Amino acid sequence: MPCVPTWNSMNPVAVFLLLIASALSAYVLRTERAIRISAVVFGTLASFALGLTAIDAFSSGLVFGPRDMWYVGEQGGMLLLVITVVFLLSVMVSYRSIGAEHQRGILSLSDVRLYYFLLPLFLLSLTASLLANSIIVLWIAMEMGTLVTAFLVGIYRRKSSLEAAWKYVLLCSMGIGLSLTGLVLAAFAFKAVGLPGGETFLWTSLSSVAGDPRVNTALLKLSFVFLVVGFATKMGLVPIHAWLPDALSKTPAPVAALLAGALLPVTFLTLLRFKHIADTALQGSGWTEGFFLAFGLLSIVLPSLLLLIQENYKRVLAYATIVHMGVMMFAVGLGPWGMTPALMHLPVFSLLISAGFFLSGEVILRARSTNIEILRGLWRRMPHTSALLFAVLILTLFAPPGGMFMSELLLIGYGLKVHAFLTLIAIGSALLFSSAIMRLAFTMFFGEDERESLTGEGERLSLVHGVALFEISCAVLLGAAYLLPQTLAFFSALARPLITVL
Amino acid sequence: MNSNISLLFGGGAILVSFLSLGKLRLRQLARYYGAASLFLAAAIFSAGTGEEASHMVLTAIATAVIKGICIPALFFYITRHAHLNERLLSSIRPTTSYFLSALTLGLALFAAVAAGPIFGEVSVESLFEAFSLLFLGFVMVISRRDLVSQIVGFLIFENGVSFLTVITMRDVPFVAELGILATVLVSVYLMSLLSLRLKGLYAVEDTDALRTYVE
Repeated sequence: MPCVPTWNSMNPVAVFLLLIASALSAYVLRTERAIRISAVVFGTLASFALGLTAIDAFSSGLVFGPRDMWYVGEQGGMLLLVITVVFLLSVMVSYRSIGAEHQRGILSLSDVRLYYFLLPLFLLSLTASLLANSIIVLWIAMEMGTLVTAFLVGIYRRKSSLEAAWKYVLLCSMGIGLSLTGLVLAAFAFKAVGLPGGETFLWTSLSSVAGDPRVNTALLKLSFVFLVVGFATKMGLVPIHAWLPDALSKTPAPVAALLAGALLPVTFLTLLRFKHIADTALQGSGWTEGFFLAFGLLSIVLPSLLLLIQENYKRVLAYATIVHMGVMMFAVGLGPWGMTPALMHLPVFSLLISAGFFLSGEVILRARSTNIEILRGLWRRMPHTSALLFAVLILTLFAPPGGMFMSELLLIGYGLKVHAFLTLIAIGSALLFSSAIMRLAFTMFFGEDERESLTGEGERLSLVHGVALFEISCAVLLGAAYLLPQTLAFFSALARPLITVL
Repeated sequence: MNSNISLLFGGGAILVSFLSLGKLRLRQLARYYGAASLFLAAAIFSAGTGEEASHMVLTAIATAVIKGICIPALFFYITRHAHLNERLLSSIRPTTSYFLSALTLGLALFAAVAAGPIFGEVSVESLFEAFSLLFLGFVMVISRRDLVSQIVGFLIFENGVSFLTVITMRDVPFVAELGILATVLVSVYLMSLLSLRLKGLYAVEDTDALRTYVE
């Protein structure tokens, strides 16, 4: 692979410096408003720089920086673009929601400082784990990301949010501990190939020698078991999902959006990279696909059932997150051709689920509740938010014209061909998921509200509505673009490097 | 010769970790963890000197300083300044803990023997020691009800990963090892802060009590 230092070689470092400066400014600036403005300025600059790196990844060096320090990959470039957008929008939404929560006394000035100190560090950890060529740096970045977000999850200092933070940090740390074991075993499996010291831990080196017959395949299988369980914990997949509904429902809306729309996809891509290495070494993808099918199917079936008894709409969004991660896992598990719908699903999912969480924050700000029963008849009280949230929910049900419809269509077509029975179970669960969401949505938006006092003054349009509308529009546009053969070809090309061709 | 000494120190780490599972005093648990980590550092040191691998010697020193001294000191500091309850909470009695730990060691032996052939040059004894630490850490996380013990459980598990790294990958760069050790130190610090926040706000150290807070 080419390793020519270009102008963008310094980009990640520049971005990291910007993000660190942003974090430090939270403790340097005196007023809460100045901190929020500073975060928007630094966040915009960092997003711009990251966006350039992502765009560059499509056209030039996939490996760059001193000693091949960074590796972005084609899919990494796409995902970098997605998480950059979600982060920038999160910073913008935070400007409104954190300001409002400070005004109401929900968050003190020190809480606001902590929030704006941790938010850029979260992006830093995400970016480092996505761009690091070294799997050790990847592990460090993931663990730091977990710790940083644990404080964001527990920022409200309520008993339930602290419980969610503790559950999150402990489960994810154990998951990351398992994945470290997997990383060590994977590196050991490659030892016989004779890679020099530090190179054993580089993505690029492992990928280039994965097909070598000297690789210890039995050990690699064992390492993959640790990796898949570790990363599944971090992705909140069933049956190791206990932390995810709690964390996403107790954290501030912009953080929930980042956790669901950025952290989970980054972890998913990391797992796909390991899968590719394992498949190449094992000379076939059948063995690893079994894990993806199992985790995927469980993550579609169980949350769909649990949605039937949910009363908290943030938890509904959290379970929808698990279902969609399950859909992507299931798609990959179906076989090589499932990779394309999975990658098509990824950006639309990130955009829609983050929009859903942003809007949920807007509902809490005004209605001060997450209980669906209490929010009955929300459409009358908050027509703008309700319309947008309703659109998000409809589009996450795989309905046209959202991009998820197209990826789902491809998945079903392919699934019925290769694993008809499992695909039928997944379709049945998806229908259950859809009906549960619709029932909850109709209760929340159009249900009879017996408390007249709650029907109050009209709702004004806010920045959050603009952000959500932008994301919904992007999801719909992507859905339209997916109908074009060129887009399909583009995603097939993105998926190709992750597919093992024998 | 040196690999035997390394194994001996590894055995020391297991013994101390095994005993720590029955300890229900915070300072005692921190001391036991520190001692287990010093044994681990000694195992890495003897393996490093045997192979004249300077990076392993450096890793051993860093392990001794960070895990053997800094992390227990951090626990002592937190106990003193935050007035954490010295008494720790377990879902099972100490004798049951030891019984469960003995079963865990049996499981580790079974796993080591079963996995031995696929590890090639790595001896079953070394694998047994690494697996034992991994499993004992896991047992502590699930059997304890207080926040500090769960952190220590995670740390014993991480000691197992370190030992596995030593017996398998002998050429891990020191910078990478240092990065992992620094991450562990920061993790313990931040996890402790989080547990202090819980304790400070709600006087809660029992994670069973935390579960009842879910809305």
